[in-house]
This record gives sequence, structure tokens and C-alpha cells, in this order.
Amino acid sequence: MRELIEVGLVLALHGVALALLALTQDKHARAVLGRAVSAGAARCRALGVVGLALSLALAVATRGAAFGCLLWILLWSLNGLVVALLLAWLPRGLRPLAQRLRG
Amino acid sequence: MFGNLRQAMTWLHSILGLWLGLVLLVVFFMGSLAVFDHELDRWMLPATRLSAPATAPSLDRQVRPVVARLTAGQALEQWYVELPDARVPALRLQVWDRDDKGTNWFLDPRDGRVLAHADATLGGEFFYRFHYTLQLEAGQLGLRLVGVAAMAGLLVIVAGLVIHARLVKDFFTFRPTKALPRRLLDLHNLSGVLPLPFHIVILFTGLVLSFPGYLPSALTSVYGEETAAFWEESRSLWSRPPAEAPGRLASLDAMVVEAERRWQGGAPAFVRVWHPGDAHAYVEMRRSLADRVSVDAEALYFDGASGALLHASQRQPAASVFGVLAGLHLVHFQQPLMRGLYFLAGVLGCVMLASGMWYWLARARERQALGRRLLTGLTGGVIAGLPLATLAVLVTNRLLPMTWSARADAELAAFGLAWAGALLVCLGAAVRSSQAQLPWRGLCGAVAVLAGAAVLGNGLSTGDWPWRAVAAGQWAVAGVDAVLVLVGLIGAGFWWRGRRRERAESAVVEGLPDA
Repeated sequence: MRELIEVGLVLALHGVALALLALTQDKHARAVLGRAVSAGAARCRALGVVGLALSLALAVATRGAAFGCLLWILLWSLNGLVVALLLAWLPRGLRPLAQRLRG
Repeated sequence: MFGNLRQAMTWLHSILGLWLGLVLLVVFFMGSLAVFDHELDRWMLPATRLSAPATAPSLDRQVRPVVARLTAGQALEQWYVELPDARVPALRLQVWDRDDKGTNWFLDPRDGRVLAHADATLGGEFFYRFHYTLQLEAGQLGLRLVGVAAMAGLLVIVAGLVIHARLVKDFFTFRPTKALPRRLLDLHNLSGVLPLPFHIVILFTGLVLSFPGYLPSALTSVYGEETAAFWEESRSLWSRPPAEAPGRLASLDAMVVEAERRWQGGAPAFVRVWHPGDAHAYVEMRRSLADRVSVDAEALYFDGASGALLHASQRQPAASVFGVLAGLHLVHFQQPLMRGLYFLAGVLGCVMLASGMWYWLARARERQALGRRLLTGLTGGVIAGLPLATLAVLVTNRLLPMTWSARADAELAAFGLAWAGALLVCLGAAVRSSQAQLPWRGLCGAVAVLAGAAVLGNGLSTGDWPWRAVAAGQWAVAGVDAVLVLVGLIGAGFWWRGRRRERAESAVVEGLPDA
């Protein structure tokens, strides 16, 4: 159970960070919000990078160096695919995240 | 010959990718299945769907009497017992006599009962072996072909990175509404870039793992023909000949306790008793790989009569590095989520290969040479044949009675027939149609039907319907069923879409006014 929660946290953090990085690109931001997030793009990118770093740190801290790194690298496949498919078929799914960044 | 680097790389990427991509597709597909080989075993061998024992079985009280009963009076070279773990609930017992003839049993760890028909199937082992031998054992042809394809794969990846001009910009880009070639290219880029580190690591470690097959001279120049000595030394193994005098065996359970103390909590994966009954009997124990990446199993050797430690394996640095690289590829660790991610990355590898080859063929469609059409048919036959043949094995497994002795052969025949059928259908269609149109709709329908039949067959023949398997904690069975249902739904979805499109097209044709 504890493993599930720890991995779940790493997964969520990594996924949100990837989504933020995707939103820094105009074409994806337009698909989600209908406009670019030009003003917040720099902040978006910074948050995304920090999120990725944090998820790696959390993975290593909870699962050990070997399994933590392995988990983090493999998560790019899962979360990247989820973000790409959301952007393609259900961009509205990312709108709550994008709107929270506007303010 | 080439105007610039990019053109040269495009040439390399398409030539190597197209020809060795087919081999790599088979390897990636089978490798993804092999990640869950034990789970497939549970699905294909209902007799081994045991609930995990609450406590580890006692070797002295539960295993030794069974060994004594099964081998009554025989002089043995060794006997070996694989202890049950989270993925394999049955206890596997192997006995080797003095003539090197081995016998295999599966036991229920709770009562030592021999499980009937527990190996009457190809099982997950088939997919695992196919992954690196391609079922071409003669002269290690399959292994060498896989090696060449893996080396080419690494080159193709580098070339692909050079060609891919908008790697960061298109990192998350998939546009399902665009025309087919563009859609395929998006899919190819997406499934190639996201798991890129995984693909590089898996190709490289796969090559490292089988290096004796590719660089045999590294071994033979030092060890000559005595390659077994290399493995003994690199793994720091230990042995001694029998004394040819009778002896007794001390408590195995006590040795397990000592081993666990030395491994600081690590559990033994197997226990092997060498020269049982001899005064020089000794006991070999290897550590379970469930909680580590490396395949260094830290062997321990105990004196059979006294239970004293004789030798503890200590790998040299190079062997330790090899252990980690091999472990990254072999995934012996038992973390279901991590295994799932390996499976996903492997499946993405299949998508990357299939979409890449299909993109090239879809663009080259305007060139209608017979060779191009044959290549289209061959590629389609491999893409469709892999899932069809695998599903045929599973359906055959659930249709035939467990008591039938030729079950494994029948499964293999079903595998070959299904794949040959898919190849013939695709080649035939590609040659007949000037547009090299393949019957995708029918193939997707066949995948859906076979996947559904496998789930139904499992439920009907064992009563382990997916929901019952979940309730009983049979996660391996439930997981295989879940993937089958997903594959079935995807197949049915494509079949349905194809039907709608065909109807729309024929409606347009019928609606045309007569000329």
C-alpha cells in the first residue's frame, strides 16, 4: 500500500510537470485554452522543470537510487503518452491546470 | 553520394529500419510478452493458480520427504528446489541423476502434493525464448540475426535523432485528424522519442547480455573451449567432487536462516543440494532477485553434513557491472508497476517500429513495383501475424484438454498456422491490389474475435472469470484477461471504424449519377 502511494505521488508530480512543459508551447496552449500563455510561459517552464526534478528526488528518496531512477525514466513513456493523447483528443482535460496558472 | 548529413542519415534510417525493423518488431513484441512470462504461465496452467502460502515452506519438513519419495533409492547428482514467490506460487523441483538426466515436478508448497499437468503447455517460456532465438536455433541463427538487428537498431536511433528536426517542438505532438502518412509520422516520433532512453538501454543491454554469441573470441582467446570455466569464475561459483562415501544432510532450514542473516533480509530463490547422500554433499543457495536490479545472486555454499559455510560468491567489478546491465534487461525484480512500465515501453517500441515502416510504405505507395508491394504484404503480415499467432496459442491452450500429451505441440502448430495465414492473406492482397491495400478490417476483426475467445475460454474452462480472479487475488490471471479485453476492444474498434468508412464510401459510389 505504501509503495502504491509513493509511486502514485511520483507519477502525479511527473505527469503534472510534463503537462506544464507542454503548455509552454503555443500550439498546445491554444488547443487547451484557445490562446497562448505567452505571459506565463516562463513561469510555466520553470514550474515544469522544478516538478520534474522534484519527482526524480522523490522517486530516489522513496524507492532507492536504482529503482528510483529507473521508475523516473520509464514514467516519461507513460506520462508523455497520456499528455500527448489528452492534447490530441481531450484538450479540455488539461484546462483546469492551465487556468490555475493564469492568475 | 549525399548532399548533407541529414540526407545520409535519412537513407541509413530507412534502409536499416525497413529491413531489420521487421526483426526488431518481433523481438520487441515477444520481449514485451516475456516481461510477464510467469503471469502467462499462471494463465496457461490453471493447475498452478495457487494462493500464495502464508509462511515460507519448511525445506526439512515439507520438501525433503517429497524428494525422498519421488527419488526413492536413486543415486543423484543433485536436486534443486525453486522456492515459491509472489509471481510463482508453485514450488519447482528438479532432480538430476548421475547420468545427467533431469526430471521436473511442480509441487503445491502447502502440502507437497505433485501438481498434475503443470508443464503441459508452451507457457511464458516460449515467448521468452522466441524473444532472442526467433525459434531459429540452428547455428544460433536467430540469436545472431537479433544481434545484428539490435546493433542496427542503435544506429537507426542515432540517425533518427539527426533527422528529427523538431524533437522538442513536437515532443507531445499527435494529430489524429491529419492524413495517414502525417498521422503515422506523428505516432512514430511520439513512440520513438518518449521511451528513447529505454530503447537505447534495452538494445545495448540485450547485446551485452548475449556477448558470447556475438564476440565469442573474447572468451575463447582466454578460456579456449572451457567456456564453462569463464562463467564459474565470473560468477564466483564453487564446487567439489563427491567422496563416494555415505553421509548425512544437516538441517536445510537452519542454512536458510543463516543465508538470510548474511543477506540482511534477502530471501533465497533456490536451494540446490549437490551429491545428496554423499559425505561431500554441499548445499548451494542463491539470493532472490526480487528486490534488486542486478542479477548478482550472491551464491552461498554450505557443507551438507555440518551446515558450515564453505564459500560465499564475490563478483569482480566487471562482473558486477555486467550483473546490473543484465538485470536492467532481464527484469527479475518483482515490482508489478515497474514491470508494467517495461511492458508499456516495449509496446511503444512495437508501435514505433510498425508506424515507421508503415509510414515509409505509405509514402512509397506511388511506386507500384511488385517488390514494393511484396514488402508491403510482408510488413503487414508481420504486424498482424504477431498478435494473431499469440492469441491463437492462448485460445488453443484453453480449448484443448489438460490431459492431452501433445498440447504444447498443438499450441506451437496454432502459432505457426495463424502467422502463416496472416502472411498469406496480406501477401495475396498486396499482390492482387494495385494500391497494395491490405485487408486491415478483417485482420482487426480476427484479433477481436480471438481475444474474446481466449477470455471466454478461460472463464468457461476454469471458472476464473476476470471478476472472480480479482476477488480471489489471482492478479496474474486477471491481468492477462484485462490485456486481452483491451486488445479485443481495440481490434473491434478498428473493425467498426473500417466498416463505417466502407459503408460511407459505397454510399458515395451508389449515389453517383450514371455517366
